[in-house]
Amino acid sequence: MRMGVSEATNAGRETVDWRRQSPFYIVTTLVRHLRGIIIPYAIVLFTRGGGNDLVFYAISLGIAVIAGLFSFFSWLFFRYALTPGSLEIRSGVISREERSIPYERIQAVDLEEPPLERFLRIARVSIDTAAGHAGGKIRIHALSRADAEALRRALAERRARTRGTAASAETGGVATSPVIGEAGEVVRALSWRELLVAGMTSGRVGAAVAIVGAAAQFADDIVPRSWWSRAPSVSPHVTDLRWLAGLFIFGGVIAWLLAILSTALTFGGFVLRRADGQLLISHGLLERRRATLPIRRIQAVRIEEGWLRQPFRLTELRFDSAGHGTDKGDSGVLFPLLPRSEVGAFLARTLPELAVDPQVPLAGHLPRRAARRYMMSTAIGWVIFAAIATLAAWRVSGLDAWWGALLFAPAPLFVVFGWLRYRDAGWSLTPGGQLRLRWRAIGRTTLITRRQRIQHRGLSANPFQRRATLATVHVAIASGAGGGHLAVPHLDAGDAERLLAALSPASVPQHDDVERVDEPGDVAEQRQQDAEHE
Amino acid sequence: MGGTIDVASRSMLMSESTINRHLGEPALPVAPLPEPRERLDPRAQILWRISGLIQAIVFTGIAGGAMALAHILFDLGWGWIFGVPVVVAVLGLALAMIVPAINWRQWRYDIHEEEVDIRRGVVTITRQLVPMARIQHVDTRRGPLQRRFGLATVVLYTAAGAIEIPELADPVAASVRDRIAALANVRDDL
Repeated sequence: MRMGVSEATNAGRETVDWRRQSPFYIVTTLVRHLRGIIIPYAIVLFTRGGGNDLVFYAISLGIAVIAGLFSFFSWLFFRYALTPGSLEIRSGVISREERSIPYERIQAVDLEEPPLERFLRIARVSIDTAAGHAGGKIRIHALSRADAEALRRALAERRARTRGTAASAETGGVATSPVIGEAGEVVRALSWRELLVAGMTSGRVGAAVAIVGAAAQFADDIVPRSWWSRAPSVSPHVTDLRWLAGLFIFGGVIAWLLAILSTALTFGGFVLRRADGQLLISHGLLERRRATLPIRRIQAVRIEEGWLRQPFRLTELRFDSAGHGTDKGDSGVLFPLLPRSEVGAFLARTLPELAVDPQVPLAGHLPRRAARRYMMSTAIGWVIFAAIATLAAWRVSGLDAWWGALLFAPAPLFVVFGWLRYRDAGWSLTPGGQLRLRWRAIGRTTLITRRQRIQHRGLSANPFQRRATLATVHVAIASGAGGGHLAVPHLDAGDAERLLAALSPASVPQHDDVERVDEPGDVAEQRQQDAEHE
Repeated sequence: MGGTIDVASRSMLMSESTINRHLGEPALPVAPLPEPRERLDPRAQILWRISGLIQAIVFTGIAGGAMALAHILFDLGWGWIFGVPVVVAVLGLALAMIVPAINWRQWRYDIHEEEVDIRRGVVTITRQLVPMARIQHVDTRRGPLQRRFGLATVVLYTAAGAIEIPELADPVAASVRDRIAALANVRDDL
């Protein structure tokens, strides 16, 4: 089934082969338009009560027809063509838009298949350009799989050709050729067993609990009151507690199952490939997501040890990647589940310059006097919460005071947790300039970056810290969504100052080729570029 | 690459021998960070006091409004209605008078060849170091109040957010901006 429509225009370029999107575009766009109004529509439908049915349905039909026509015309007017130097796109129903994307500006080409597209056996082509404005990402929404694949291959070929001639002129950090398609050596793929383990230990309970909570609220509204009173009763309190505990456990199990399901949907079939200076990540069961990640733009790696994973020595690896121009950077999952013992080898294969063995302990630790501060600051939040909750419960609903005492009971747990936070915090800096920072929020995070990746750094000390000669170290890296500002509190002030000084670009030793052996070519090249920047 | 390491005039210099070269151990030099020396324009204090006063007036107004609303809705006593705004006004006034002096005394910066060094803070003292090589661009900004005083703010943009050096006299701000631009550019051209 051939879906792209070819036609030759006589607009001066007879040879240009203009192509259209698959007609299924009309379907997907219509569905998207209507999806936005379906809920308000349903509300109106069920609440309007009587009224003039004919007028209502006529208006509904009118809206559907207008949306359909709009979808049809935007399909009709959208055309693309591959000219010798660029990808040309013509679009727009009311105002016509003409875009020309030179091949050498294309950073990456990704195929996306959301569920609806999957069902219709079409794909969305997403083209990442180096444009420094909002239109940096261009999408061709609906192409038959064959056409999408052909376009992707064609773009890769043509880009490689233009790059080949212009490569010598390019020296910037962006001049990586796009790896397109399922090319590249598979670094690691997530097995089904690992996927299941990842789901079970994801700790994504938060979102799931919210869903269960909402469902419980709903159930509470529809379950007749008499059901609750029929509960076995020994004493009123015991009944309440039993019910509560049962409900809690049941809710927890449901939440856990939901977490497994959502992890499976997100990370199912996770494959990490590496080729030609780029990492290719593809994952997702219902919606297959593919991302292309130039290794040069990766600023840092985070080893996340969630509270459910740490006991099993399992980790999740995340990356922080810099944007280009005003295009915001990105931060995402590099690999969803990896035994701690394999992290070193994995990083050595994917990002050698950030490779580290997480088994090797950190060199820098916090002084003893920081422990009290961690324990205090961790517990104080809970104590304040407990106090306010108790006060509120007492004032509003007149609950017994012992409920309040119950709330204070977990406070010692928070003290222990504070001690864990103290014990886990630390840093390490190699002579080669690789910085490791570690801290614990709930799970434990180890950030690995390099001296030349640090955008700015600093330290801060409040009066309490100054009295104890402690300081908080701040490091800012380029990352998406403002996640690039990191802080480790309560270092010894002298250590903090020395760390800051050692991170100065001027403190790079002249001969740091100690760890430069056996590096793949692109990393050595990267090193050189970074050195040039210094 | 060549001309970058021979910068011996830097204030934050450490010899290579001080760096611990054993892998896994922190490569920490012994020399502490010398404090930056340059101060902001003294008129900054007056400007901050004025903007502090404006803020105090605004907050007093908000507090008064909120209390009036509370009076209408919850029948709050007159003591609250006058008390709260008065407390807000006194507090705001006191902060507007005291904070600018402390802030100005703490604010220091230095433009080194390799880095911009900033120290500031009223309660929490913060130190910030921005390598020239990481500065993407730099410009000056002048608010309406600043224009009256002939002051300007220098803004450094990095890939991880903007950093400001506020309240410099116009000519100083311009020269700081140009110096940073030149130093940051030199790195880019290498």
